Amino acid sequence: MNPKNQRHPDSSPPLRKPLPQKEVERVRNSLTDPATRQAWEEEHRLTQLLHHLPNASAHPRFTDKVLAALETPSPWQVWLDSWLARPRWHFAAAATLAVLVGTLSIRFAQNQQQQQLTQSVLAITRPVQEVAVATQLPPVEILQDFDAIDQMRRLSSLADEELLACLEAPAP
Amino acid sequence: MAVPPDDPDVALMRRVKRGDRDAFTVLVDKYRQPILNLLYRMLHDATEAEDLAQATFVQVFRFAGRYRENARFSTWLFTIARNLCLNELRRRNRHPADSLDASPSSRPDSTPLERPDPDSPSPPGNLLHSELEQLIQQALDALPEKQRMAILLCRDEELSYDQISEILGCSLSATKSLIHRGRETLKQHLKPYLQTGDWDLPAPE
Repeated sequence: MNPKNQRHPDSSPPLRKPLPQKEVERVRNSLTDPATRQAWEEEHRLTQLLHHLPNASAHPRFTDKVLAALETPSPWQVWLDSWLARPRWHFAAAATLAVLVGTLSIRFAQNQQQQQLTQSVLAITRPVQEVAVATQLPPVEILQDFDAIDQMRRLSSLADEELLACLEAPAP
Repeated sequence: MAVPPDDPDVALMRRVKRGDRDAFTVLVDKYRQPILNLLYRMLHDATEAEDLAQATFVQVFRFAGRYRENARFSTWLFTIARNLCLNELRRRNRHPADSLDASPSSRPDSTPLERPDPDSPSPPGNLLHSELEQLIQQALDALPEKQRMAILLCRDEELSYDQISEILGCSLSATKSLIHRGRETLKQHLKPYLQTGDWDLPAPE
């Protein structure tokens, strides 16, 4: 970088990299065309105009000002320092609050886990319970009149016509 | 982009990472002018450009630990400058009243741009006539921000297209397209001067 204010005096700006010979020949050939030549010259002049723009003026003590700015703390550093400068009980209160919140969070999480475990156990045991209930057999004594009860259930669907006739007969 | 192993900037940044302010001063002296030029031409405010240039270098020192030695220092430096510049431009767009107050002529401590002294003999063709310079600046101001920045980065000749694309955060082809479109627009604005090549105009009497 040229440290002086004058940039590339009395010379065209240097190219980024030299063109290959083939490219140089191609450009030379194309410049025989007047329109191409004019376009090329306009490009070149624009490059020169941009290149010869004057430098922005730098303060004579620019570097000193930058070094002085390094001594000024950044905004987050100011915030951190002000926070650290607070009374000690602030830290104790913050630490206590953090422990409390942490404990409550852990207890809540444990409670949630316990509930989920309970739900999953119930989901497994309920069918087992139902099966266990279903497999209980009634006492044998109940079954001794089973045939009679079963006959009565079948017969109850048919109308007892004899009984109806007796009921309809006029009373003497 | 590969960095030569003996790159002096990399060696200086290694020292800056250890807090070496002498190494940091060397880098500031080396790059302050290109950074100032870029920021001034983008913001068109000499005082704001100087403030942002200082902020750029302060960030370089404070965040030196983030610099990766496999990248060119100039790329990293110009990227920081670009980010600060875009922040300022966005702030101006949000608060246009502030930007009006910040015009160079209204601030008492503004640093005026250098003007060639018409009485003193100056090498011909070195500095542009102020009228032409104003025209070029107006043409630059009319460009979209990205095109303007691409043109200004390209103007320096010290940055490769790869570096410029990295600074702008876009692909190499997009960068070349930005530069091409920006130059086409500038040529339209400056056609009379480009056609005649006559920019050593005598100062008006």
